[in-house]
This record gives sequence, structure tokens and C-alpha cells, in this order.
Amino acid sequence: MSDDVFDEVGLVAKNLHASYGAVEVLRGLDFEVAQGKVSVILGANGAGKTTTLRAICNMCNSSGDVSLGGVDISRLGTAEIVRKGVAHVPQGRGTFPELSVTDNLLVGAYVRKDKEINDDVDRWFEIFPVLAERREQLAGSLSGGEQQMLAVSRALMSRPKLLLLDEPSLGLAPLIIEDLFTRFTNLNKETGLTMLVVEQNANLALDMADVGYVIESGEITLSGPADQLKSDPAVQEAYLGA
Amino acid sequence: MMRTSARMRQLQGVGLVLITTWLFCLPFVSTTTELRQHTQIIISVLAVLGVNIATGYGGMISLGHGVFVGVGAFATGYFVDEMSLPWLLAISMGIVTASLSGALVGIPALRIKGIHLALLTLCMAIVFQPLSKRFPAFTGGVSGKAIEARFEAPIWLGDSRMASAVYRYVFCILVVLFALGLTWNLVNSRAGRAMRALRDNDTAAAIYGINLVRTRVITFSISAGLAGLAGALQVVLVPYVSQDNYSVQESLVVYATAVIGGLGSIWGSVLGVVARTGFGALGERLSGVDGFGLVSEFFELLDEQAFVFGVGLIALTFVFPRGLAGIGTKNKQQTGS
Repeated sequence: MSDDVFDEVGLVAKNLHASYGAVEVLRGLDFEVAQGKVSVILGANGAGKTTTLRAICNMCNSSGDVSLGGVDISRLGTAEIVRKGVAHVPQGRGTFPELSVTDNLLVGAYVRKDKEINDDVDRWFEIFPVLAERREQLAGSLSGGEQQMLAVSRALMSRPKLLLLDEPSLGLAPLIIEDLFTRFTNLNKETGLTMLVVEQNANLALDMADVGYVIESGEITLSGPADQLKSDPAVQEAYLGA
Repeated sequence: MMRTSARMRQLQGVGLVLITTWLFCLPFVSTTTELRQHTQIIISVLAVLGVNIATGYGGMISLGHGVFVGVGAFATGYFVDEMSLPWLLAISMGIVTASLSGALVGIPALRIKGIHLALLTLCMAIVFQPLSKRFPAFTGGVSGKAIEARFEAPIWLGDSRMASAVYRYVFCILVVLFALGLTWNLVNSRAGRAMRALRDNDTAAAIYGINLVRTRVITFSISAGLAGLAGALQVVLVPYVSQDNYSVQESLVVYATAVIGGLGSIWGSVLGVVARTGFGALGERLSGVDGFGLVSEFFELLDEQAFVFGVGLIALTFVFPRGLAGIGTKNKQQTGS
């Protein structure tokens, strides 16, 4: 895959279906994330947000077309999809509590075989000094906000083209969430990292995003440019508490 | 992986010096029988280390590692005698056979976890003895069988019994040290991190491209291989194999030793064996003390090594839930969701 192609198309999902046993969770989603942009998927609990991200990574029983930079990735295994440049920050952070902060970062680089892995660890320690201070500490001893920073930098250790963020605001204090979203925005602006965020915190997520989608019961009910969605009465009522 | 404070490192250093000195002096102060018994204790570290890899680092409880010790011993005996392989090759075959049987158990471990895997491995340990009685060609059946080949000292060391005992002692220590070093390197390598990440959170591990199936099976087979090596060295020491040595209790003691020493710490496997031996010896001494009424009656109980061990296990899980190796580790644990 050449980066030039990716420059144009980013991530495209077409007719994405997923089910757990007999229960159909996603019923044909179409969405995309343009290269270098941020898309957000809004939805209530149980709408299928997490499943959408898992379906992209082929971690659940799913069908439909998912392509990254014009290359079909819907039939690849998870490890292969990571190698193609998709990184995933799971819901609830999913740090490895009994591994040190450094080891957590190194696991993020599991699919890499180059010699620059340790340089990248140092780089993330520079960006998040609080992680550097705790590099030898077990990840389980970090606070929720620190763990989210760790989870994000761990995901970025694979040098992804696309970052999937699963409800990064979950369970964090409002001030920490704001700080975190500022960092996400900077990351996108400074490095051009493409992001797909699923969130319930519509305000902050729409501020950061270029494009937004609203899913209900596994179907997209609304979509459009983020600022337009923000002023949409239905979204305001459901998510923005207006 | 547990992080240790500077003070603990000093203590570990002192412990290391003590153990080394003790190991060095042993051959000069022991009879051949004593030396053999000490060597047996030393090689039991390997079986404990095996459990530690599966349970402490891989997160898969195994109550049946005595089985792999048995497989390693039977296979080594078979290859050295029936196949007339040289000792080193036969020992390697013992490791390989145990690893392969470990991989077979590792496959169900893909699907079942926690208490269910514990039960499965326990069942395996229960079935092993009656099963091995059925294959006398390999195991010598009910009564076991003597191994013809002898692991003797080379001529230049002399042909006394002591020379051979010391030779086996040194050989086993070197093998154990080598295995400890290799394991330490493994758990701190990329593969070892994958193993530990999987133990902590398998969904997250999969997200970073770790192959759950392959990692679990490899972890279990390495852990079984270490136990198999312990079995192989048993044959080196005592040229006799018998299903009698591989009862369920043996498996449980190996597991308990790993827990007492500290799961998830290489050093803990050594500490566990030291503690088990120490407890046992202490119990034996105290049980001889008479004339203190009820206290003596209690001491009588201490003769039962299993009793001492059980009490130790219960006490430790309350006082030091991370085992002996976990004493003094910074334990600011929160559940990392």
C-alpha cells in the first residue's frame, strides 16, 4: 500500500454488519474517515459504538467492506490489520495492570521489528512527562487519566495511520477529559493522524471532529459535518442537553 | 512483573551470596546420599519454575505439572535405554516430549480459564498415575523400572561414588542455573511481554496484534518443558522411573511451592523451594521435642510436612499475597480496568 493512495481515501466502511450470536448489533453502517481528519460516531449505550470499532479490527463476527487507503482489510486477521496501520484504544483503557509503564508501551510496538522502538518510547515520555516519571511503575497504579494517556501512547507505538478511540472520556473527571481532548486535537493537527472516535460526550467530540455520525440500534440515523451536527436539534436534544 | 525496591535488591543480593556459599560447601560436608537428596531439591526448582511460567506469567492455572515431570522422566528413561541415546540427547528428548504434551494441554487452555482450567489440569494429574500403569513398556507399569544407563563422572574424575555424586550435583546445578537465566531472558523479551500482556488483558493484547492461540500454546509448552527437564534430571540422579513419584499430591505441592515463592517472579521459584525445604526440616526437628504437653502434641503434627506446608500456604496467602518474592515490593495495586 502506498501512502499516496491513503492520502486520498483514509478509512471507508460500507454495509458493515456485526452480530453476537443471533443478535444483530450493526445493521449495515456506511461511514468514512478522510485522511488526516477526525470522524466521530455518537451513540447511546448499546447503540453499537464499541462493536463498530471491533468490527473494523475484525475482532467480532462481522461482514461488509472495510478498506484502508483503498486496500480491502475486511478479511485480514487482527494482527495483520494492526500491521496495516490501525491502532485501537479499547474502552476502559485496557492497560496491562501488572506490566510496567514501559512494558505497556513496548507491547504497543509488538508488530514492529525495526530498531527505533526505544526512540519512540522516549518520544512518548517527552510528550507525557507524567508517564516518564512512572516508567518503572505498574500501570495498574496509575490514575484513570494517566492510564488513558498510557493507552493512547501505547496505541501510537505501532506508528498507525489510523487511531480508533473507544469512549476516551469514560470515567474521567471533566477537567481531565478536556485536557485529553486538547491533546487529541493537537495530535491530529501536528501529525496529521487520522482518528475515528466513538463517544457519548458529544460536545467535546464534535468540537474536535470534522465529520460526525449518530448511530441508534446499529444504524446510522444522522450524519454530516461536525459543526452542522452540533446545531442539529435532534442531536442537541439527545446529546447536548439543550 | 513485580518491581522491587532497592532494599529488597540488597536482601536478594545477600540471599544469593548465602545460597551460592551453601551450594559450594555442600559437596564437602555431605555423604553421597545427602548430596543426592540436595540435588533432588535443587532440580525441583525447575518444576516450580514451570508452574510459574504457566500461572505466574501466562495466567493459566496448572495443578497438574507433576504430570509433565513424569512425562519428562519416562521419556528420558525410554530414550536413554531403549533407544540407547547419549544422556544429553535423551534429556533433550525428555524436554521435547514434555513440551509436546504441554502443548496438547495448552490447546484446551485456549477456551477455558481460571477455575475450569485448574480442574482440567487437576483431572489430568489424577488420570496420569493409573494411565502410566497401563504402559509398562515406557513406565515399568505398577512397580516402575530401573534404567540401565548410568550418568557417570568421566574417568579423569575418578570412579568413586562420591566423584559421580559430585559430578551429577554440579551438572544439575549448571542446568538449573542455565534454565533460570534462559527463563529470565524469556519473560523480559518481546515474547515474554506478549505472554504477560495476555495474562493481564487478553482483549487488549489481541488489539496490539498478539496471537492469543499461539502465545498460549507456546507458553504452556515451555512451562511443561521446564517440568519435563526436572523429570529428566531425576533420572540422571536416580536411574529408576515409577508412576509412584507422580501422584496428584506431587503436582499440588509443586503448585503450592510456586504460590508460596511468588508467582510472576523467577526468584520466587527458588525462594519457594528454599521455604518448602526449610519448613519441612524445621517441622521434623520440632516434632522430636517432648515434655511440653499440648505444645509437644502440636509439634507432633509438624512431622507431617504436608501440614507445615498447608499452614505456611494459608498464612502466606494472607500476609504476603504475592508470595515470598513479593515481600517489600511496592504494591500500589488498583484494578486497571
